[in-house]
Amino acid sequence: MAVLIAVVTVAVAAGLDSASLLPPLASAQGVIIDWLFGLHLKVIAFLFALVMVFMLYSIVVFRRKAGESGDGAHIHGNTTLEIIWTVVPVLIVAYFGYLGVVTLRDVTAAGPDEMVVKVTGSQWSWKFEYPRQGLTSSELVLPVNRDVRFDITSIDVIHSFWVPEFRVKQDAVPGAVNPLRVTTTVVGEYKVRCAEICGLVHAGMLAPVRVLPRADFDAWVAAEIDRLAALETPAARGAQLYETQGCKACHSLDGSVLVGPSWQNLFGSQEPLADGSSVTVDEDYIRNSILKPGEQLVEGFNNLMPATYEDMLTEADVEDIIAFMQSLQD
Amino acid sequence: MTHIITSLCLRDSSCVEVCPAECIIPGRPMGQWPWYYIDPDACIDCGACIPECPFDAIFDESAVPAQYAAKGGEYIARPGLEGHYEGKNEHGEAVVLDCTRQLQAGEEVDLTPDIKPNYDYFSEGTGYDALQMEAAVPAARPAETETPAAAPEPAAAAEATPPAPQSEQLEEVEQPPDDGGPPEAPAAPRREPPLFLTLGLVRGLIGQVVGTVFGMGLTCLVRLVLGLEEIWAAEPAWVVGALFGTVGFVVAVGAVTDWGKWMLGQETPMRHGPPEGKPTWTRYFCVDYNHRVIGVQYTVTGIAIMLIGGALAWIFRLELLAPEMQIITQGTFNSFISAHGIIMIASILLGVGGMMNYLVPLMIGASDMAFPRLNAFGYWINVPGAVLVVTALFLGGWDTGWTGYPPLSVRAPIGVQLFFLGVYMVGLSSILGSLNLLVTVARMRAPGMSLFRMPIFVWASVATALIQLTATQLIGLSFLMVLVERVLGMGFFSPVLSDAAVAVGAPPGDPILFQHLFWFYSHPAVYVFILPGLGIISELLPVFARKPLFGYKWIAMSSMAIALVGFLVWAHHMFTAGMEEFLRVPFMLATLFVAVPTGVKFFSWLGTLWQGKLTFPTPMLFVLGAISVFLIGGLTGLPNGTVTTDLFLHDTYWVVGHFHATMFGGFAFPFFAAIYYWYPKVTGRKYNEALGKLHFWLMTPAFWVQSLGQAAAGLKGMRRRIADYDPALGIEPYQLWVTLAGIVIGVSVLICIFNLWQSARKAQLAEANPWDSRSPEFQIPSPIPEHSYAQPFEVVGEPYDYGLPGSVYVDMRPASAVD
Repeated sequence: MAVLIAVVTVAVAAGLDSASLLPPLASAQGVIIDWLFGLHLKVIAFLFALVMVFMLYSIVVFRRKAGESGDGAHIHGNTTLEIIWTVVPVLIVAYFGYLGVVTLRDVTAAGPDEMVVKVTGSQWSWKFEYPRQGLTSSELVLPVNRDVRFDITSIDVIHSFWVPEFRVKQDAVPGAVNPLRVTTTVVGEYKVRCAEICGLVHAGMLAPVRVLPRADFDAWVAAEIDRLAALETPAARGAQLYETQGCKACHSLDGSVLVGPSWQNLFGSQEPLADGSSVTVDEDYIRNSILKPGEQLVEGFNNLMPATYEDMLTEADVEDIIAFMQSLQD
Repeated sequence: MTHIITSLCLRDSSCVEVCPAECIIPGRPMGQWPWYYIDPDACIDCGACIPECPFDAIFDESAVPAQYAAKGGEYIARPGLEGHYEGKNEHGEAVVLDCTRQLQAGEEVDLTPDIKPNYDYFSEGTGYDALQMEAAVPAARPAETETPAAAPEPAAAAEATPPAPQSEQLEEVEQPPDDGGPPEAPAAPRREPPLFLTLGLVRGLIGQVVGTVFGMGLTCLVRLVLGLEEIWAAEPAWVVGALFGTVGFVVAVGAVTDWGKWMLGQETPMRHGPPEGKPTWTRYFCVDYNHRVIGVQYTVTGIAIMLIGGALAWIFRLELLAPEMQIITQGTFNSFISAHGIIMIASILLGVGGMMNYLVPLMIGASDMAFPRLNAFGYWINVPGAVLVVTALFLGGWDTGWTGYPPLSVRAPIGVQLFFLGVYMVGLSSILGSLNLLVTVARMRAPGMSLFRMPIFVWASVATALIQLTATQLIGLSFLMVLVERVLGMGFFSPVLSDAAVAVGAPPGDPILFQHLFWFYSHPAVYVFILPGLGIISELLPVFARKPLFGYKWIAMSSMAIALVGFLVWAHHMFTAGMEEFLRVPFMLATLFVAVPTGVKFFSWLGTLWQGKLTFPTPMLFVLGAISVFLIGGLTGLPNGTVTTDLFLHDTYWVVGHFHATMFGGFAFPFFAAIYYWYPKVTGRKYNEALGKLHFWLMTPAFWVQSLGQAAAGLKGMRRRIADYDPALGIEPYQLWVTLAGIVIGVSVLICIFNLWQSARKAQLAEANPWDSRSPEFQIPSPIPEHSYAQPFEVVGEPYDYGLPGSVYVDMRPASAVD
């Protein structure tokens, strides 16, 4: 019996091990998590083997043979056994609890010189601010081999910041800033994937992640600063806001209809409203639609736009966005 | 009250003649033992009847004897006795009494079995029927002149009170005194409404529509009076409408009629058997107080809405076959997964209610639940709740998942409000049902059934009911708070305040608070879902292994341990939520500790199988399938419980796989096992064994594939509740397998339903005890008679002493011991 259980345990554990179940690993925290997960899988393989071997063995050996009658052995229980299979699991569970505490400490430990990235979720986009570099981006770019602390928040509903290759995740809660620590280890391209249902386009709430060698990261920072400084026209600034403020999650520039109307050729057009009237899309209408999204709803669309832009955008930002929309005429 | 010891009473009726209070009532059916009972509500304890009885069978309450010492030559009457008494009563009329025996001098007769029925006859038995029939047939009463004296009371009450709501009047009209009314009320030709319209369910639904419209109208009226610009506002109108609709349903279905009558001081006879003059099946669509009818109602409703939830799953699983959206929009997808979640949860709660209602009173030898009317109300309140949840899908749905976290749920379409209210009603049912169950188990066990001689399923039910009674309030509260936040603008949970709230300096709300309230119920709730199922596994294994349940007390205590520890683990759903960091550690330790009592169950089940003589009819297959599936569910839970690994696994399909495995292993498989196992007792017929096995052999492998496929996709990065996924994750093969497996599971359930339906109509009649079980419900005929046990049985042994020759669990005829 013991041999059978050992064989099945090893077979199941080896099978799980060789199946390469996890995505590529790209953080120091992930090393700890993968190790602990692997340990869990070994315990799972053993317990699975233990129960299934006993059960299948009983099914085969203790089945009622043809022509057999009468009942099974009259055994009420065995207190020693019950105590053993209560105490041993308690010890195993306590050990895993200990491992959980220790690894949690390691995974959440602060590095000596953390780079801070402010992460803000909104329906349905991510915004990344680099306070020390003075940058805001819709793309998460990080240097490799660096301790990073993400200060995560949300402006509307709860989202969850998760890059599977980093393993760890943290919810983005409006009204609170939650830290998450990641030490990047592998150069590559990944994605932030929102892991908490956040409404209509939850599935599409992704943002690109690039982990770059140190020099490349510095070059990216310099290039971004230059690029942003070069944004002299209102339309160019508006285009930047379109990227970073989440507009693009719902409004396309190529005429395809997503959650909201496409911005292509929108400015100056006549649009029917849900209340039956129609409106010319001019500066006033756009300003009002950004600040009070539900008031003048275009027919065929639902009132899904977050009502938070009034607090997020300055008057100048709104002007820039309007200028950008004006530039989108054929 | 004054007591008649029914064994000693030989139907002299002189007591009836002297009684000033009309409280001595013949038993039903008339002309059979027992002859007379005393109505405790009417009895004034005057004692006038005591000296009148020639048999000394009437006693003051304080003087009721437990033993009777025979003088010799007198008769006693009890069912099962074969003697006759032929003679005259004191009116000089000849009487022949069956079930009698003449006593020897000095013989001692145990009278204790006679005392409880005397109490029960009126509190839960047929007593009020007898009262009603007496009133209808006045000539049968010896003291004719007193009949009118009883009559004015209800009449006066009717005059003094305002007219009852319309539906109650309807109901009274429809229940004519059918056994030949007095000739002076000549038959005005009564127009019977079509049978369809007399069904409680149909009337309830009509009542719900009427109530909803009324509530909406009321809302508009209030807005009109307030002078608001827009008279119609969809959200408040639907919320108020839904509330009044629910009230309309329970009133129209008749679930509160008796309580209304109590308030009016009217008699409410306990009806038994199918409604008069209607086919038997109609009782399942009307308010019925028999716990077994209610159990079937719960179960069938649970299966019905399980089909709705399953159909939704089929649709969105097909959508997930390939990346990009093909069949439904993202909004529809989000609504469907949310509805799938809550509908399945409601279905499980109904299934749990069905099993506990049907089985627990039978297993403990109670004639019914302690509060039959509350029991019926507890079932019927589910129906408008389910209607609300389904209606929500047509009001824009809701895209929050079943968890309904604010602030998302504060912004979701109106559907979310009906979802909240629907869950509220189902939760109310849980609370009332669990209260009823706990009282029943505490107070109504058969003589000799000590706690550790209860069938193990009763232990599981008690543990379940303890959770339901004490935790359900929290989900009701949390949903209600979001509901009023939306309708009344109370900022409980939204950190972003309205301008008006900022102006008055209101503090911001806390979205994490909701999660604490919500999970304080919703985690223990999963133990509500699985504990009865685990109880079914423990209940059935000994029967099919022909061995005692290994470690009965350990299993019983492990259920209680899971129930209690289950209250201390809720925040493991919030490891990534941003609650206080240090809270993660105690909740992790408590969560991992749940593995210990769960392990005790697994090992005890293996101990039960060991050296048994196993047979494998369909129920046993489902029990073994349940163990294997629950094993997957339990093991995949370990890394969720450890915080560090959960940081990776949380909100992925790993969790989806884990949860579905625990629900199938802990509920669905045992539920089907229970259905097949007790099917002969419920219907009196045999299900089709081949189809049952086909159901099993389709569902079990498919479920393994589904569960493991979900877990694997989750590890690769598949997030929960997403309508579309990134093809770069490489999870399309998993999605294909999971979808195919889901379709097979659905087909197998349809086969099961076909089997149950066909077999109930056409199959061979079942014997009383097809599984050779020791449980008391298998010692009485199939299908079980209206009043399950002819008399209370007595527990004389251990419940699971299979393999011990000559041992019995229950003595069905304890009275015959005096023979």
